[in-house]
Amino acid sequence: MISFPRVSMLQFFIICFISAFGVSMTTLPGAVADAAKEDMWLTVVVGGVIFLFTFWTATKLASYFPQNTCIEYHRIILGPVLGEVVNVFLVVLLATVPIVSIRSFVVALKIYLLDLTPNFAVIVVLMVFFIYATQYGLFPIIRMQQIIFMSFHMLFLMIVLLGLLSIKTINYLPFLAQGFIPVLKGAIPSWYAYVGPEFAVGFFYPFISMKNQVLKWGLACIAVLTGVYTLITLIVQGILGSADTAHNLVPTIIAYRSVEIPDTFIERLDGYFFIFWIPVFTACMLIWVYFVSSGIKQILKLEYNRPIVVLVAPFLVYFVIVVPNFQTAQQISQWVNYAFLAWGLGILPILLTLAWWKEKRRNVC
Amino acid sequence: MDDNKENSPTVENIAAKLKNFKSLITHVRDVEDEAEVVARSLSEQYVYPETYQLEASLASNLKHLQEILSDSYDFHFREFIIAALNRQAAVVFIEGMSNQELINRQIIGKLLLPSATGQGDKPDNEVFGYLKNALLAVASLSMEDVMGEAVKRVLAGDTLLLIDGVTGIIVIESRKMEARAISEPETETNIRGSRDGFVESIQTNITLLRRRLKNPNLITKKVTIGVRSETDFAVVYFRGIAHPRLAYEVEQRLRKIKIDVPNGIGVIQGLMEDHPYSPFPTLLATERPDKVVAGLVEGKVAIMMDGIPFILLAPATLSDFFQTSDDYNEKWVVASIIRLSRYVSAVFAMATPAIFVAITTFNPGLLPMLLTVTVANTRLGIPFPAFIEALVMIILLEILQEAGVRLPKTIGPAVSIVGGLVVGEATVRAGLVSAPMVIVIAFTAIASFNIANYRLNLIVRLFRIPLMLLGATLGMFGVMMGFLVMIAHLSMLESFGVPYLTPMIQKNSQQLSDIKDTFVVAPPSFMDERPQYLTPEDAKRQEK
Repeated sequence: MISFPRVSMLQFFIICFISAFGVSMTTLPGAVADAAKEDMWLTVVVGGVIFLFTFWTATKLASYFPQNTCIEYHRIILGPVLGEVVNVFLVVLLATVPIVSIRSFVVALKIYLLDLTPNFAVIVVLMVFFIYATQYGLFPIIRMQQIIFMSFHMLFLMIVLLGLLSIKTINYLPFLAQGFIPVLKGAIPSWYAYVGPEFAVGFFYPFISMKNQVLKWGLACIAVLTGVYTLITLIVQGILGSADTAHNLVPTIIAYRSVEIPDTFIERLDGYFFIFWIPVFTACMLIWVYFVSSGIKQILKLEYNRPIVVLVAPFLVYFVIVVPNFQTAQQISQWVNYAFLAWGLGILPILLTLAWWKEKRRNVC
Repeated sequence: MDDNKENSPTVENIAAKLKNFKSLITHVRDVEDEAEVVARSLSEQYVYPETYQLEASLASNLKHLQEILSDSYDFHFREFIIAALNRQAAVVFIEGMSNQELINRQIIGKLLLPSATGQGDKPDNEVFGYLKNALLAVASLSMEDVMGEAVKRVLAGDTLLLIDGVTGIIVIESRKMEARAISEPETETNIRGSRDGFVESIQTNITLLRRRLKNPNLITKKVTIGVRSETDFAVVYFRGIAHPRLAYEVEQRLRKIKIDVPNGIGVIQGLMEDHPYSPFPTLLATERPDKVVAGLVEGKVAIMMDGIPFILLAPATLSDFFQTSDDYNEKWVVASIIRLSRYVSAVFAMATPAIFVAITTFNPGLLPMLLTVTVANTRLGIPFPAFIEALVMIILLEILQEAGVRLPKTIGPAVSIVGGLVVGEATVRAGLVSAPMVIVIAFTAIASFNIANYRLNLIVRLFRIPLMLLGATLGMFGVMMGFLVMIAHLSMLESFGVPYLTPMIQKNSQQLSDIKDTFVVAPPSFMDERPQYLTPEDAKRQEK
């Protein structure tokens, strides 16, 4: 009964979705509202469409090296020295996501759910969980993501949909009053919300069973992500209006605070939104911690990433605590966003061109 | 003068001498006991029957058997002369394990009769054939030429026939052990399903399966485990359905067990499982033949143990523990709702106290305002925090549940009444526990009764307190993290290579059909395929 495990397309879809969805939907409407005002929802759509290109690039690049992960083919394309430099940069970049995200999450948790609990307790609990969950390798993590996706994500999306009960259509107008340029500008801060699937391709491509289906399923996932983000942005805009959305640190939670369903057991929605956000967030962070530990494992050419997770976790805890407040975390995440933008629209296309050129030269030889 | 005084038989002197004498007697008795122990320890060394050689002499062979079986009182032998051969012979058997009527009538009775043809003695190598064809009126007999095997057979209830001059022992199948009658399984009762359950006899249990599966492809392979007990096990599977690798893997794992005495099926389960340190069972124990048959025709492999009325099914996934035989005897809609209710009950039974503690301690905003006020009012004057309150009630509930299981059936309900009604009512009246807490714990208990499998019920009870502790320290965040840790643990588990959460999570769209018998029960016409995750040899179950 023991067979060589492979990642199926359904599992790949779920990993891609979870790696992107979980952190930024609470801050995304605020980030895009500042630039695009009433057209903020359109900005999210534009961001998704541009991200399709990045995903295509990542998939095409991975298809040149079907038996290698991104860490391995960076070395092949750029050579051992430059490849390793890029790998180290990538791992540091990947590590900033859990650091910044956990910091923001802990602050939000303290404000809305656990006002007297020290941040340290929450961070340590999360890290202990990540250490435990990553101990048994990739496939238990994938199975866990599947069960979380089927249960908690679905419940969370149902709660998200309940937000439609409180929207005011007047908040969507005027449409494209300032033209399309602010919409394009707003797409830049929305980029962070989509980051994830390109790294899922990079790290999991060698384990995928039907490699020719990766692009199709990945694009479908990004389409679904775009839909969900647009829906959340529309709901938040509909509840708060673009001006209020832009002024709030976590506008999504603020918006759901004002959603009331009187005469039912669920009077206010924000608590339930927050509670079901916990597993959604944790699942997302688990994937990123796995990316980091897997990246370090491959840089150090180790067989297992078990000890890596145990060693990395205290550093993550330290850096999460070092970030002094929510505002700083948001500022860092802006820079991280630019770095991911540069990775997705700059480095990946360059790597693809180099891979294509190498392949072409090899065919000529 | 002094000497006379010393030797004079004064009362003191006599008493002192008697005391010395008594001490001497005691000492002699101690020495005698010690000598007896030493003698016994020398004569009762652990015996290895395979080290004894069979000889042609009946007296030697009998002496060896007496040594091996150490003159145990249930060990019997009867010497006689085979009239037809005019040879000295003996039958050896264990009382209570052999069919004595068969021994009397069909073995000794027949052998004492003179030959009708008036033939005399036979050459040694023809004796077995002659007895088999002309004298013994028994269905099954064989010749053993190794003492160890013969001893194993007599200890299993067979009868040995030793004949002078023959270097071998004739083993006659004559097993007849007293056994419990087939009755309704106590731990897995149902309403519309069959009422027979497994018993302690492995042969009877195999018969219960064969009665339902009259097919030569039902394979039963015997495995003996227990260095000292030689306990019989059977690996049962359906050839042509079960994946050969699974059947092989089960058999191999069973054969690798080197225990002296397997005290129960749980010990074997612990030694065979993929994750023996996990509280979740990865083999399904059942005492229902219909359940085993259903598992076998799905492609699973059963493990039977002699002396135990439970059979293990491998592989087992979490969803198997939520299924009952009645699910397939009800209309699919009703069965689906009932099964779903079991899943919901398991979650409630595990998490309700934790959620209540978390909400009352950290997150009252999750409840409607009116309910929050009501709960807060009832908790006024309660001297304990919600966690202690819940902990005390849960410990009380656990004690009551355990007492109900251990006590005789006639007293069990009385414990429930005293515990549930009297103590519950009294604690609320005394202001030690709030009424909502009693309701929560009562609801938790009732929800746990709805869990179909007893082992799963135990696990749900086990996780209740850690979850509550998380709820008391980190509120709903803690409860959620508790759930996530549990999901992470379940995701890690596998049973014979099958992920434990299968088929709740499917690897691909082809396996989606497996979900039709997971959370719900699909109509019988939809159950046309065997579960994909078992990779059966023949995937089709019925023609549409």
